[in-house]
Amino acid sequence: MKLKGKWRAFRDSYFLYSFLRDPVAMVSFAILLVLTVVAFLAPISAPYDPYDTSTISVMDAEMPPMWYEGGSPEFILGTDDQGRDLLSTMIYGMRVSIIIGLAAVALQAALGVLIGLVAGYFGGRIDSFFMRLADVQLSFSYLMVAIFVSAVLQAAIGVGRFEEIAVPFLIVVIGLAQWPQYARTVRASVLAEKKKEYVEAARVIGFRPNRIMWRHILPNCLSPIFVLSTIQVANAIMSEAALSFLGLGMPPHKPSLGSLINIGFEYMLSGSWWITLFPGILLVILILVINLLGDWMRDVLNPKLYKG
Amino acid sequence: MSKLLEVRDLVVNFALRFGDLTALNGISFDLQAGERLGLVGESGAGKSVAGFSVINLISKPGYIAQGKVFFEGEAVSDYPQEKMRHIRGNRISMIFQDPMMTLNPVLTIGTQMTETLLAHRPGMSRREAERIALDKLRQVHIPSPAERLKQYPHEFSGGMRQRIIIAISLLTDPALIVADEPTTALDVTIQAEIMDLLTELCEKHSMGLILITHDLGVVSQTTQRIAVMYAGRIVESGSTRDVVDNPRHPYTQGLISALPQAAGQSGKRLHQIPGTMPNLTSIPDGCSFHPRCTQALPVCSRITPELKENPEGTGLVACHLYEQD
Amino acid sequence: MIAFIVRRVAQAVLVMFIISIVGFAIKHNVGDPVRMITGISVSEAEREELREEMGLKDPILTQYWRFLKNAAQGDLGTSYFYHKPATRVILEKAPATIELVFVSSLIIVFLSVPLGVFAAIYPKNWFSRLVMGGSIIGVSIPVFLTAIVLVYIFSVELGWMPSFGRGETVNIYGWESGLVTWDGIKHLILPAISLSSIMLPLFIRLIRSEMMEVLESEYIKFAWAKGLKPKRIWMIHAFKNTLLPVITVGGVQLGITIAFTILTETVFQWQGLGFLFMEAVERSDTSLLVAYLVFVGLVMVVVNTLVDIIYGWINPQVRITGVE
Repeated sequence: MKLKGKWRAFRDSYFLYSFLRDPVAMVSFAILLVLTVVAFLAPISAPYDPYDTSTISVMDAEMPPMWYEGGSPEFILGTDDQGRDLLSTMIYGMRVSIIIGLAAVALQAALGVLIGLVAGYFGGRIDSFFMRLADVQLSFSYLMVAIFVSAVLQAAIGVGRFEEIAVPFLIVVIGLAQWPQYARTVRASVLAEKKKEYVEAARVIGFRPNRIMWRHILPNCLSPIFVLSTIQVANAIMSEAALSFLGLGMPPHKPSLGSLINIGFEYMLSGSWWITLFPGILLVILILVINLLGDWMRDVLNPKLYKG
Repeated sequence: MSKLLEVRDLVVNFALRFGDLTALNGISFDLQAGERLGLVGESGAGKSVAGFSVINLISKPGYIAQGKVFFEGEAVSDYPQEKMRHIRGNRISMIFQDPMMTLNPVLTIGTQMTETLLAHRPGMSRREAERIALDKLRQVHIPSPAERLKQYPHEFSGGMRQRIIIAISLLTDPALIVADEPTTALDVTIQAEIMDLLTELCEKHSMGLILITHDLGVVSQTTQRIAVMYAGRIVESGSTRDVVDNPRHPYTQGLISALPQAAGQSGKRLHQIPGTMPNLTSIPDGCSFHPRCTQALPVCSRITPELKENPEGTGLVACHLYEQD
Repeated sequence: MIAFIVRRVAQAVLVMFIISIVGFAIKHNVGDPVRMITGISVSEAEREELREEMGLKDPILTQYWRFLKNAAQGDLGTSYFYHKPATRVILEKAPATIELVFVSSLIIVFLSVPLGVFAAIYPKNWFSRLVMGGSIIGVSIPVFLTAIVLVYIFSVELGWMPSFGRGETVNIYGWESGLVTWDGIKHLILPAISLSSIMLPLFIRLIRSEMMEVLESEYIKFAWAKGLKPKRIWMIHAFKNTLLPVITVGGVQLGITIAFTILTETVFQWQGLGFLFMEAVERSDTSLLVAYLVFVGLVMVVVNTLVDIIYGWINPQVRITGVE
């Protein structure tokens, strides 16, 4: 019964209304949906399995896209330096990137929201401590930290072992690096809400801090969290791509889009431009639609209706 | 005495994504030189919009759809922005509601005062402007004015800031001051001081004053005439004394009897007007007050009453109860 | 204000301290300096002796203290690969990166301010829309990709600009500068554009949105009501207030820019600190990695502290009361 009510509320909401009237938002969402579905259905949507070494032959290496001379309809977008079908590798790579992006943001959000709630609600020493920590951490760019930690880790445990733990490692490193953004945002919301009367009322009734924080304050802080999350997913995907490009992320035999661009870079000067260009275009489109949706969401969820 | 300000059938709309909303639905009022008029109403009645339309500074997406504003005989509502700029802050000054937000935090008081003079008096030297600024600061009773000029807004209390803002409004010796809720954001104890100051200065310099407020108490102390607004229209106007002692429109009656003074004297409960003022998107047909009116007639839900002379001829009222058919 | 400065400096010192601990921890635990120096044919006994000599058998705190003392004097160990003191290697390569960052910052400041301000004042103008549209695309293209595409178009296809290296440099009192020769500048153009490719649109968007918010504020409305000239309202009343949050963000972005130099220098084979870092990674040159960490950490801490102090100076509320 409750779910139906929520669905109806959503259907009639201003949120949906503006969405249906904004072509950019709708197109971006559609593209994102398609990309995500294709990515997660990788075993079905990709023509080949690029991780299955038995299907790959080095003889097929560096074949151009099929509409060029030397290309073949077997490999629509051509092949990479090891003979893998570029399209399939891109799809699998996109899947990895999206998974890492979402998981890293989930981690940052969980951590940041928790800290932000606690710091904002309890104030005092706890607040100062966390905010100082956040300040310091923010002043070191997360990307720098991620690059450095990856580098050191690789030096410490060797390339082989690093590759084994690459995915969870990337999730953790990108996740831990960005919690301050969430903490700050949530804390600001909490401070604003704390002043409101319903919090005073809840306290007077005798609810415990936990309950007040989670059940009452948090729902009102949700919109900034949503907006932040979209931006952060885009950032996370970019960071992972950067790390992979430097060889500090996904390994070449299980490449993400960033790794592919790295591989392709060497071959670009010798003419095999597609190995870099196609993954590059896909990466940009993915990040772009997320950013566009994020921008749109920020405009819609912003209480000032008359902006621009 | 010639009319200082004439507002004729002013209609102000807001162009929103889903259509235009009417904030002011054809209001008209006059102001003589040196006269003090109160524009009274609840939040959302349109009184601030009315104030801003005098200097054509309505926030986007608001715009003047119909009607005119005449200042010293000129139709200023038709002026292009650059021409209007010479009137704003020069012949007509405005005082805003919240002194905490009205002053720019990164500029000194001195800068924010002298710039007004330097903008409207070409050829005036900085020193001359400072001299005038100091003089005005003294007129609003701010101690050690010379030091104040170098200070920043956050170094002053709310009451002091409002005085400074009043001083700014006096700099060019304007003919008219529009004060939008000048004391609402201040402590009650300071409110009276500020209002007395304003009244004293207006009398001394023969400046006209439009006082926009929801506070009937403040208005009855300060103004000579009153116009009561409801849902974008003026529903009653006349001399302050007459309207307060003898309210004719049921809304005005409700407002007056809701004053604590009224109840306190007879020991009764505070009177409340049932319901709330409609928002701009759902204004009722006919008389916009009729759903809340205890004296409503059948005609009130169909035909909007016009602002006409009341039976005694002492003012105007827009109510079917007073229509002489 | 003094109290503010003291607090900031104290925080800076604390952070440097933490960095030193991290650096030491890495140096101590990762890689074996003895193995790096001696090679395979040296016996175990000789290695132990060497360890003793190098002080690697001393208690941890002693080693840490030694590390700190040396670092304070500028000695950050020896690079295994270059066989030179790490500090010297870093100082040799630093000018390349500094010049790159400098030119890139110029581009960012001189373009983002006018474009951002214009887009804020005239948001519906076709040019503003174009700039904003371009900005959101720019922000979505990773730095290394921009670099690669630029290299491909301007070097490989068109042959207008060189694709790698710094070109001709001139030694000015020990500073290898590429800014003095035309060849050096030609080599600088593409890398500098790549480096700014994300920061520029970011700042344009930031300046625009901050300024638009400022333009909605009560004190700006009051300025209009005072009848001031529009130019004065925009440039004096609005702009200064816009600058404050932008400065805050700017400081943080420096750290990200340093990360971007790693990416850009890799693509352009630019012999700067970023390139050095990647070499150190490939060769597991721990000493150099730690030296890089300390150097970059120092630079970031100093710049951040300076930016905070400048902010405190400009913002009258902080300057006078000492609190934010």
